[in-house]
Amino acid sequence: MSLGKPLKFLGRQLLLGTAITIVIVATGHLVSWLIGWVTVR
Amino acid sequence: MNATRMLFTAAAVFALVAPAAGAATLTGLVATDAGQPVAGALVTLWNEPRNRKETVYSDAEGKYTLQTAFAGKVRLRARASMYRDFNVEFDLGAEDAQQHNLALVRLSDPQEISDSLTASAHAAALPFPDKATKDIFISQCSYCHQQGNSLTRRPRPDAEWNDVLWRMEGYGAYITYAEHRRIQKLLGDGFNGKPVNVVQTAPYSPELARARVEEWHAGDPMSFLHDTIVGHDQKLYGIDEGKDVIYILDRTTGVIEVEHLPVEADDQVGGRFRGVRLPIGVFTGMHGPHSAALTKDGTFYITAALSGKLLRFNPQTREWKTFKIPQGFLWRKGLYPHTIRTDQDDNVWFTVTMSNRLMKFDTKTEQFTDIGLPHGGFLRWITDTFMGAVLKLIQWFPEKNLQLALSHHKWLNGGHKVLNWPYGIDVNPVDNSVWYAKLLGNRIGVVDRETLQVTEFETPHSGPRRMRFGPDGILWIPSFDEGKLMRFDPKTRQFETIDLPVLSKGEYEMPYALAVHQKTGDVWIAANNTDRVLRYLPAEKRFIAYPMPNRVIWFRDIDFTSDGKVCMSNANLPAYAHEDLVPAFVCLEPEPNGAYGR
Repeated sequence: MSLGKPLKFLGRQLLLGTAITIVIVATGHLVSWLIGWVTVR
Repeated sequence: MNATRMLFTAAAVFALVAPAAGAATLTGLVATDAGQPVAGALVTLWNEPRNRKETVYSDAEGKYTLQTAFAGKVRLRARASMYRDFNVEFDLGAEDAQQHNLALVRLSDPQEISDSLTASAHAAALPFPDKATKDIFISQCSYCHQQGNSLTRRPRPDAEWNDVLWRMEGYGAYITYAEHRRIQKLLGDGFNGKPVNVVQTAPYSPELARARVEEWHAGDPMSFLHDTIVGHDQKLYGIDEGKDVIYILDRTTGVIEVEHLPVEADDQVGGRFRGVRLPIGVFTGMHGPHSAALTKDGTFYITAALSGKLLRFNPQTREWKTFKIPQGFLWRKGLYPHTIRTDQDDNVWFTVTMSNRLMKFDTKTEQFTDIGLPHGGFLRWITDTFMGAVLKLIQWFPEKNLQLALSHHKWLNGGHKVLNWPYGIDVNPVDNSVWYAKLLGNRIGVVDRETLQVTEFETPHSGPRRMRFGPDGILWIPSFDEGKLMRFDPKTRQFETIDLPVLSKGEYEMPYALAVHQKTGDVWIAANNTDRVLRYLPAEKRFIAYPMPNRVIWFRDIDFTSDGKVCMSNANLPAYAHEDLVPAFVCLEPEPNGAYGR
C-alpha cells in the first residue's frame, strides 16, 4: 500500500490546523488589544 | 553651617587610648544640629577599598559604639530618616579608640526630602486608577525589583514607557493589553519628576542599639546573587543566577572565591528559555542557578532554573554532578525548578514553577519523583500542558520573545491568572510534611508523603511567596501582593493575618524572603519596599524593624549562621540599582558577640 495518500492527507490536515490556529490566535490578539484600546484611552 | 554643627564637625576626630587588641573602637554621639540626640540612626563605617561596610545603630540617647577590624583611610557615615547624611573620612589605626560626634541636619528642601525617601513612598504616590491596577502593578511589575527607587522612577516619555513595559513582558510580567496600557499611563503620569513629600516615621526599638550589620560587596553591577545560604563551614554561598557562578564568602577573612558551574554538551546559553530575551547583560549563563539546600553531610543541591537540571556540589572537594529533570510529554516538566528544601530523611524537594509541579529527589537512589499539582481552572490547565511546547517551539527563534505572540495570557486576555507558579516550599519540622505556596495561584498545599496526594488551601491574601515553618510547626507566609504576614496552623487549618508596619500612610510593603529562626522562633522578613528587615516576635506579637544601610534592598532568601547572624544577599535586578551599585552579602547580628539564638 502506498504511503503517499495518507501522508498527503496528514500534511493537509496539519496545514489546515496551523492556519486555523493562526487565525484564532491572531483574532484573540486583535480582540484583546481592542479591549485595551477601548477601555484605556 | 551653624556653630553647633561646626562644633560637631571640628570635634569629629579624637584619638584616645588603645582599646581591646586587634580591633579599633569608634564611639560618639549622633545628634541634630540643635543638639538633640537621634535614636536609631545608622552609623556606618566603610573600609579603605570601600567594598565593605559595618553598621551599628545609635541608642535612645544617640550614642553609638562600633568595634571594627577596619584600618586605614576609612569613612564614617551617619544616616537617619528625614536627615541629610553626615560623612567624615579619617585615618584609623588597627587598635585606635576614636570618638566621632556626628551631626545630622533636618532636610527641608522638597527635592532632597523626596530623594531620601524609600521606594515605597514613591510607589504609594502613583495615581492608581483603581485597586485592580494597583494589584496587578504590585504582582507583575515588582517581582524582581523595587518600583520608585531612583533608577525606576526616572521620568520617561510615553513611548519609552511602552518600550519598557514590552521589555518587562519579555522578562515575565504577565499582563493583558489593557493592563499594559493602564500601567504605561500610570507610570508616565506618576513618575513625573515632581518631589514626593511625605514624612516617613520608624519607631525606635531598643534592640536596634544592640544590633550590627556587616556587608561585603560581591560580583559586579550585572551580577545577580539570587539566594545566599550558609554552608556547614559557616561560609556564605551566594548563587549568581545570571552568570552561573557561586560566590563563596569566608566571613572571617573577607575573602570571596568564585566557583563556576559545570557545563555539559547539551547546555546552551539561556537553557530551555533561550527563545526568551532574558535581562540583557545579566543573564549570560546556561543553568540559571536559583536556590540551594544542604543535606546533613553539607552537600549542596541547587536548582538550575534555566537548564532544568538539579546540581549537586560538594563544597570540600568542589566536585559537581548534574541530574537532568525528566521533561515528559510535550516537554511540560522541569520548567524553572525553583525553591528547594531538605526533608528529615535527607531528600530534597523543590517547586517547578512554570510546570506547576513539585519534585522530590532521593539523594541516595538519585531518582526523581514528579508530583503534578492541581491546575485550578481551564486557562491554567492550558498553561501547565502547553508551556513546554511553546518554549520548545520558540527555541528556533532565540531571544525573539515569540512566547508573547503564542501565550494565551495575551490572546485570550487571561493575564497573570493563567499561571499557578508554585514557589516557596518548606518541610514541617514537627511531622516532616512538605508544603508549598503558589505565588500566582494564591494557594498553599501539602503533599501526602505516601500517596503523593495533594491538598490545597486558598490563602486569605494574594501572593504567598517564600513561606517557612517555625519550630512549633506553624507556617509563616508572606503575602507579597498585599503586604501581610499570614500565620497558618496546619493542625486547625486556620489562617491569621498580621499587618506589616509601613513608614507612612498609604504605603505598602512587599515581603519576599521569610525565614524562622529554629531556636528563637523569631520570624525574619525582607521588607523589600522600604529597605528594612523586619523581625516578628510571635510571643509578643511585636515587630522590630532594622533599617538597612544600603538604599534599595532586595533580599530573596534568609539564612542563619551558627554564630548568631541573619544573612542574605542583596539581589535587586539589576544590581546597579543598589545604592552601592553592586550586590552584597549582608549579615545582621541582632545581639552582640553571637548571642542571638545561643
